[in-house]
Amino acid sequence: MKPKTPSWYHLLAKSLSDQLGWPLLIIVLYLACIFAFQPAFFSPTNLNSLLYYTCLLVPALLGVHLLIVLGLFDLSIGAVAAACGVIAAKLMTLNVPIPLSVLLALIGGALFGVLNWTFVGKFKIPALIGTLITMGVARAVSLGLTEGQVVSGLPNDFGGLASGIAGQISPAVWLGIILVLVLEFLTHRHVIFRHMYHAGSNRIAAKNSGIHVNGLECMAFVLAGVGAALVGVLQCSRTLSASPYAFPDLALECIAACVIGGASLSGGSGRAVGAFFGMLMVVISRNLAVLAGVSIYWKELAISLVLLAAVLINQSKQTKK
Amino acid sequence: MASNRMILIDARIYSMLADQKLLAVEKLTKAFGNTVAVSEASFSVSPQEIVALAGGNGSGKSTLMKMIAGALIPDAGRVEFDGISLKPGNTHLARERGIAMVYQDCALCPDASVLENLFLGREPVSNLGFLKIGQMRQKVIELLEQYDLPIVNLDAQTGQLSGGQQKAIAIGRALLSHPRLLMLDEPTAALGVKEQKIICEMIKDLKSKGVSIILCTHSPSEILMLADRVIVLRRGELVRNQSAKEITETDLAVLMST
Repeated sequence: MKPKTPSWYHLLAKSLSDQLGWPLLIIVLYLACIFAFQPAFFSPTNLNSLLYYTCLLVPALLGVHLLIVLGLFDLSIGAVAAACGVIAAKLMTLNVPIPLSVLLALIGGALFGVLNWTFVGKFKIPALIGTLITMGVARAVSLGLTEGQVVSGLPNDFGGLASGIAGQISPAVWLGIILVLVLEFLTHRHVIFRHMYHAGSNRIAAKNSGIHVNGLECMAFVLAGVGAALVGVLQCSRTLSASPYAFPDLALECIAACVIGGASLSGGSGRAVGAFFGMLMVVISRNLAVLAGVSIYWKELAISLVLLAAVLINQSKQTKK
Repeated sequence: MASNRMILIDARIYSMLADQKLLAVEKLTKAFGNTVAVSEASFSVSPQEIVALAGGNGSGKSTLMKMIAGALIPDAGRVEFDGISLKPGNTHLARERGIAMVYQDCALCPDASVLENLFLGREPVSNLGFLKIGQMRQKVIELLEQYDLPIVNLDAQTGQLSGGQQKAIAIGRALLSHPRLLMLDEPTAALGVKEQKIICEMIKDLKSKGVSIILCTHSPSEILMLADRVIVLRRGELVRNQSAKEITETDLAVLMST
């Protein structure tokens, strides 16, 4: 019996409809509703800022995406982003060169990733608790280093990384888009990233087939840590300051974005582009709450409702399977 | 005269091959705590022979197969494959030597494609680690030209296929490593009648292509239909090792139930 060899356009159409059909459809419907009730949303300045803020969070989002593919998650990324931003800012205020400060902050993020993996992969502590411990450690580091104060007075040259020149696309936007496209390509074609999907789909089968599941989990935690650190550094560059209390909801936003983007919390599925659209939707929801005049204290509710809707739809998809 | 001599030589070679054992298991023993799962089991498998491992639940069939495949380290005894002793507890080495095992649950990734499951953990890659998809497809086409496996769409999501098709993928994956001994753990369990028939035909086809098979099953009728020899295990002990032609379905059912 000879297997059918599908045409490239059939494969492309199937991949688009399977992986991106759902998040794209939701975004289009969402935008249509917004157009009807909040036309101010579509001003170029507002759209530009939405894309900018989404791209700013992409490095952490992609790390969380890989963890969710493996059937794991990380609650510490917000605290890690804040801690690494503080580390970079503190080093710069001590006249350490900008590239070295950024590099040390990224290494700090990688170490937080290793810590997460040590708890989850080595000590077999559930990810919920293990990453919560790291979250506490990272918050303690940022509060300890700053004594609860915002670090400011960073060199102006550092601002170019995330802000860019008026009328031009910010380097942070380019970085975000390039990272999404590169990861999308790698998760289709590279053996290491394909193995992450296999390990998330059936951990025991992957392990019995000789796939080094523990190593993949370590890699994903480290990438999530480095991604979170990069977000912290970009935020520092944007505001030329670092707050130890920054990113209180980053983990929630990233997990919501991945689920909205079509990933399953049990692992083995989801696409980087889908997660990006999911994050765009989270950012849009937050923005809509602001445009609608909802008090800043209530805007978290918008994210929670979007997450609830995404999880319910995800569950119904799982049941259908 | 010359042709008579050739026939004589052919007969000798055939006789030597028939006597040669592909697998020899000697006094394999495994205990889990105080429970002895397998006790001093010894048997052999000849080339192109189907040996059925029969026995009730907990009789030690799966443990015995896992020890041969290197998935479990035996407490005592040894496994010899093609005249050379196998290092215990090394699945990779056992697979390299030509022993493949298909687990009862198929050990597949439901979210991955059929093609990915066929090569799980053994994908051909470039120096930079990128998958050689074309090469993978070509290898599967060659495999399907050799064996009649019901694998149609290589891009289908494995979790959406029937139990029989999933079993065929698991067997296909084992065959891609070109095994000389294939161990099948309950290959027809939880399958419909039609799918059971397809799997049984597949097993016969594998034998005709020169693959030796150890078949672990609960079904006496399946054993008598497929096996050349039956080995019955009871509470870890090997209680019968007999040609399948010399045993009836009723005898087998009694042996397996007592």
